[in-house]
Amino acid sequence: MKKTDMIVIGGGVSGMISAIAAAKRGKKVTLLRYGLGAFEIGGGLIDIMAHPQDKKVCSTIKHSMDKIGEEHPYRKLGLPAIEEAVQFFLELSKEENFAYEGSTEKLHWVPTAVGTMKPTGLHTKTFNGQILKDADTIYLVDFKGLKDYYAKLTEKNLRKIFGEDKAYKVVTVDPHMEEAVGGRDIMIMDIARWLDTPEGLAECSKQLKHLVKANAAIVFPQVLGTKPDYTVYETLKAELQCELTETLSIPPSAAGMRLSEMLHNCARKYGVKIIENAKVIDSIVEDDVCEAVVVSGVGKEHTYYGEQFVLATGGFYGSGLDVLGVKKINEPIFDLPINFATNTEKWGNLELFSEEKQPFAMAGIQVDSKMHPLNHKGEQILKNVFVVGRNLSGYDFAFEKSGNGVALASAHQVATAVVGVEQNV
Amino acid sequence: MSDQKINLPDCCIACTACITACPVTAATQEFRGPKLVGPAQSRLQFAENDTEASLDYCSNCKNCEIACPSGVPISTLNMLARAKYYETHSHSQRDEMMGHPEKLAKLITKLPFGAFFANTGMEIGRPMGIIKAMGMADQRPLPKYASETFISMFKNKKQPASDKKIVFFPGCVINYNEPQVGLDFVDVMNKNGYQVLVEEGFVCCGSPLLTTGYLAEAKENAQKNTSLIKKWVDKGYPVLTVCTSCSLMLKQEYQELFEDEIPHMEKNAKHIFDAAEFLEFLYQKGELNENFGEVNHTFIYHAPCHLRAQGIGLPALELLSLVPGVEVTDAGAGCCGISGNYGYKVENYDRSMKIGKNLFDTIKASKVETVLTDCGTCRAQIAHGTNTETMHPISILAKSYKK
Repeated sequence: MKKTDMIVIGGGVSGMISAIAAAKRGKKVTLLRYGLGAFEIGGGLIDIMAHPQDKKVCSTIKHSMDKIGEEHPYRKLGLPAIEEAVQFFLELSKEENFAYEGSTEKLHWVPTAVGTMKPTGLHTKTFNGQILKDADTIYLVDFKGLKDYYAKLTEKNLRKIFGEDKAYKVVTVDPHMEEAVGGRDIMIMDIARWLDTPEGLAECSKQLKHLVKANAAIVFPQVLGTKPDYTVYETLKAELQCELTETLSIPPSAAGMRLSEMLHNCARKYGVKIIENAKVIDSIVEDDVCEAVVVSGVGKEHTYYGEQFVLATGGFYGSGLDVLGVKKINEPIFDLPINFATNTEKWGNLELFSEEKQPFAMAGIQVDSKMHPLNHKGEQILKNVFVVGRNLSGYDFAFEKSGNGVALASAHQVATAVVGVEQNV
Repeated sequence: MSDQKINLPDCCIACTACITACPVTAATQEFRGPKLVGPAQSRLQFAENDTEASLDYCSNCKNCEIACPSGVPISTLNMLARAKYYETHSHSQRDEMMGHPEKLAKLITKLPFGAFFANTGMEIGRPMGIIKAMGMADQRPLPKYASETFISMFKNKKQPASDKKIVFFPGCVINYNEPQVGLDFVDVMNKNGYQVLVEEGFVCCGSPLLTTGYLAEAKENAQKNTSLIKKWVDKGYPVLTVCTSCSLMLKQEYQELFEDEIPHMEKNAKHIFDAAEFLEFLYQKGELNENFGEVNHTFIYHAPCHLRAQGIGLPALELLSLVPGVEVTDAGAGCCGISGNYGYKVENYDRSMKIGKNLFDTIKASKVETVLTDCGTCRAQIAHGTNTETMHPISILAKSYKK
């Protein structure tokens, strides 16, 4: 059977990035995906690190490498590899005319839908908390009929953070979505799609011109388009002569859709072969080398042969890790050993917003510096298999705010390793 | 497969991926969206008349299922809910007609010059308002009937005999509307050393019956086809189609809809192939006849949603890239909007065209003269939406082998 250079299992952030990074360097890549990944939940930001130890300390990865455990994927990778990955992503997004900003050394703060502030790493220009600090007047835009966004609440909490000496004003735009009466509630995605259209953008801009004065800061819900470009942002910014920011919001996230499409466009551009609706259920392994993976398929199984394999199946959420009982976790494709990073007997803390990282969240697959899976003795098991993203052990992405950062850095490392392997042969 | 056939609304984790992927949701605010109409409503069906009013908007295009990370058969749940509704409600005359394209075609092709009069009638009927009065969109042409069916033409087709045989499931579009595609398919298989057999007992796969709410009749068709397919599978012959909606129905939807009601479906499905899937598999094994002649032409390829749902990638695109002189790009512009008979209904026409707009714009901007796609109704929609010639990819392979 014909073999491809690299087979990536999973189409979320880590799968897409490893596929793109390898394809960009000339590898033939096939990506097997089942579902759209967590883009619509993830919100389109690349959180790198905010809480290395506890909730009291808020720090970037550059200033906290010594604070995170030895089992943390970032410790395996090392800071230079993380920084290279960040650089790769910033350049990739720039090439796509949807440049992200940010770094490993400075936290960037973005407003949430309820008016609190959240730290992140890499972000689009449309998320910018700084403008709220600098402005004398803050407008909060609401849309008539929009569900799950309460500009009054956003205003109330932003006042607490940015002080009462600024002027705050809620303004409402009417998107004329009469169809929604008796139909579907208007979601943020619907407004974003309205603004994708030239007519919607012109109408919104026209209404806002009557409602806001220039040189202010404007807070939008996450509606500045669903496409990976800055058309909506730049147009409104220029027309209204104001600084703009979006807020984070509940799913489906328009910013997640932008990131998803941007990565999809890159993958197509570099010739990544994407097989949709392909659930990998098994692997064919000879000694310590994987020959192929098996897709359950529609009606029949399909076998994909390759030289290198990347496991990017997304942990518990993406069925990359199956929970079979208390502390019984299974990795269904290669049956890789699961590592519990902590020695605690506790499976989890009862508090949802606990002050400690959750032991269950730290469970995953232990790897070496190239992201090859290891057994409990720390020995390499499969020579041509790599693990990226949430399947890795030793970190709690939700607590740390490090999910997409680990996905990006581990994925980029794998692409580098795969290209290196080939060059050595 | 066995763990994800049907009735899995509780596997929905409400991640909203389906909402972002649904082309109907993007086109209208009147549709409540796949998550609510599919899994959420399935959990909430307590009373018989507890039907979601916007269920009619679902086109069964399957983009929600492609997007779902949890294997929830969202659109199939919708089709089951639609069937349940029609258990206690009667169908319109229009749906009676649109759900039964095979019945209609059989009637027409049996009459002397039936196809000619039917085609002429459709042409005359449009300006006279008859088509619209029947509840069908009169802005687009209805599929034309061929003067001779594929089955009839096949009987006169000479093939080299071979021990390697496959059985062809032509489907309604190929048999009644585009028989040449079926003949091209036979040529391509012959060039690869296969003799093609046609099972005349096959009936419509049942896809139009399902989407129009005739579940009981779809089941009858499934029973007939399944037992015939079993007969050939037992002889060791694979069953191939050139229509991606037929193959999806035969491979997957039968099992989802009629699990435990019809025997042999699961085993059959392992031997049912889309034509390009089969040929690409030969290529992977190094068994494809790669003596392709040059075809100097630039194409855009559109992947039908029902192909993307099959988890086999875009095999036709892979094959086309082997043909010297062929320049082909994947449109990658989403659903064309037709979804079988959906876009032919008068109330769906505008929405259907709105859904397809992104694809139409992509095709128009490319300035190519020919669009390739594996699905018959996609071909009709693209031709209508872009004024561009459309072809089945198998016809390009056939042409290439002849050179």
